[in-house]
Amino acid sequence: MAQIRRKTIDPAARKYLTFARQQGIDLSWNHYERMLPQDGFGRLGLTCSACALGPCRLNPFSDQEEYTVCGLSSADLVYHRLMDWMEKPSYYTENHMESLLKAAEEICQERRKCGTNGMTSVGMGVLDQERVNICAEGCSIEMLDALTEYAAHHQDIAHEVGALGFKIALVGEICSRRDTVAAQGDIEFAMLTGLVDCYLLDPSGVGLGKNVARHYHTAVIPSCMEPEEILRKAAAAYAKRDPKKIHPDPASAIIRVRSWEQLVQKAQMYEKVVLICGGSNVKLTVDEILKHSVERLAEAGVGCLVFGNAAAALVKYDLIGENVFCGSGYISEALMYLDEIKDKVAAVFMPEISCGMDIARALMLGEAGLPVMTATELPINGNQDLGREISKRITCVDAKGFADKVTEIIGY
Amino acid sequence: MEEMKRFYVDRRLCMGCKTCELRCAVERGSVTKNLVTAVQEAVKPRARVFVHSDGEKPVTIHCRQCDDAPCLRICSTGALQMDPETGVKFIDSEKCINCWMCVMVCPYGVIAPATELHTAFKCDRCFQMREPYCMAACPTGAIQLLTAKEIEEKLRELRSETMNNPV
Repeated sequence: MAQIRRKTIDPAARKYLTFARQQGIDLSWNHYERMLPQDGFGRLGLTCSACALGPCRLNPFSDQEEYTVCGLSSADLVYHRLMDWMEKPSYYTENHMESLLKAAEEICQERRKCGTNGMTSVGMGVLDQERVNICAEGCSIEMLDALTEYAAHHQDIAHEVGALGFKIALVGEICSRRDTVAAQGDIEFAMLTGLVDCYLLDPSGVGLGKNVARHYHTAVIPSCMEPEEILRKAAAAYAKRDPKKIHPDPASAIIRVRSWEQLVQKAQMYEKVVLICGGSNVKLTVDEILKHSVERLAEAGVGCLVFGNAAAALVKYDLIGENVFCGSGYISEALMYLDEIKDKVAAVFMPEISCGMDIARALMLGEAGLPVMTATELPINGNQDLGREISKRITCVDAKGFADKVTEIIGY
Repeated sequence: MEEMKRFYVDRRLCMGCKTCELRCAVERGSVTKNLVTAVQEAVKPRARVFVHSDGEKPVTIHCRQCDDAPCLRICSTGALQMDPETGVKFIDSEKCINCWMCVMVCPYGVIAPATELHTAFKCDRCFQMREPYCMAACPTGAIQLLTAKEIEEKLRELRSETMNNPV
């Protein structure tokens, strides 16, 4: 059955979607719609391919399928899936929830303190036609710091291929004081400019930009490479740019980001604040819930503290400003300021959770007693007990659920 | 009566993923009609289609909608009925007295004694829908709904493929 839905409310999308179609380039939406229906067992978290005895899957409607070949129960499978997403090793445990929380806590600890000390400005849509553009997605801040430092001292590698230097920017996120590559749309749209010379991914290789990169000169590189090798590959790709394929994105923006200390001060000015973060997820109408929620909340005078990809998305709609403040750190740092903000936080909105990192943050914030909500269906319902435990910390709702919650927060 | 269409499963395409089973259970067997909530329902939703494997290749098995249907003949209460337009055999659960005679006589074993629902339970080809849910859900297009003529055409295709690429 055909899936009829709105892909995104991104104002730039129509232009880019048309352009991609004309060029014969499939974007993530096309891939998603073509593969529907997605695997129901996977959606429930009931698949396992951890060993060669499988792949196994447990039928939730059958009493005959209680265990996988090697004896894993539905609770084990759901637990394993989430641990995989959080890139943590799963092990035998009798208390799945406790182990998940421990893993989530470790992730949040590792990823703390990456923001600024005060207020700073971050550039968006920073692709530079004269420079070797390197876009990083899902890479560690430490790794990016090292690469930036190395590039600063080795501009000659870029000069050798006729570029003015290197431009290193993040995909989407505004969580780490770094410039981001797109002021319009997401990474796939940025790639369609033909100006991305190197797409740097974490070793898992997950990144939507790959859909477009294969049609361009872009080098897709794992971030575990040595900095010199990354720079050289990026420069080599720059030399292969096809001038006919270059369509610079005219949109750029400067956004002011605040440290957590400043955000806490802002929060004190409001009766209620909402923390908002998360990436974009093609399974939903991209940006829809995010934009509409923030518009209504800001209009009603509720303080919105936004982070990461959510902040990058809201820039497109010119929503960062009065009552909407952009944080430079990660949302999980809220845990460090819990005493000061807990009574102010009416909800934590993560409408478009898209990776294990988001889940880890959501779990920890939920565990700390903040009401966390997402519109993304998580693969947790294959086991009722574990699903129920997780749902105590992260509430999964649909678009209407979000609208209801927003109405509740603003008081009418 | 229009020409009868029956399920034809292209075994070359069936991956044994059981997506058809899940979709059938959710759409036709559950109260909430939603996968996530269906798994939480007190009465486990049942599927009317079964993925079976002979050890080598999986295949989905539905009610074959036999012309001379033994289930229809043996039902003493009129619970098993035939739709005059499509020829599909279906169960009126209000009339079913749980005698399980139809369950016993079905040569394919596709009528289930659903004790929790107090009725026999079988595939009715979703004859009141635009298309059967299992077919719509099949990710490879293995489940098809064809007339006898179309099935013959399929078989011709299969024979010629086998002749060209002998096993």
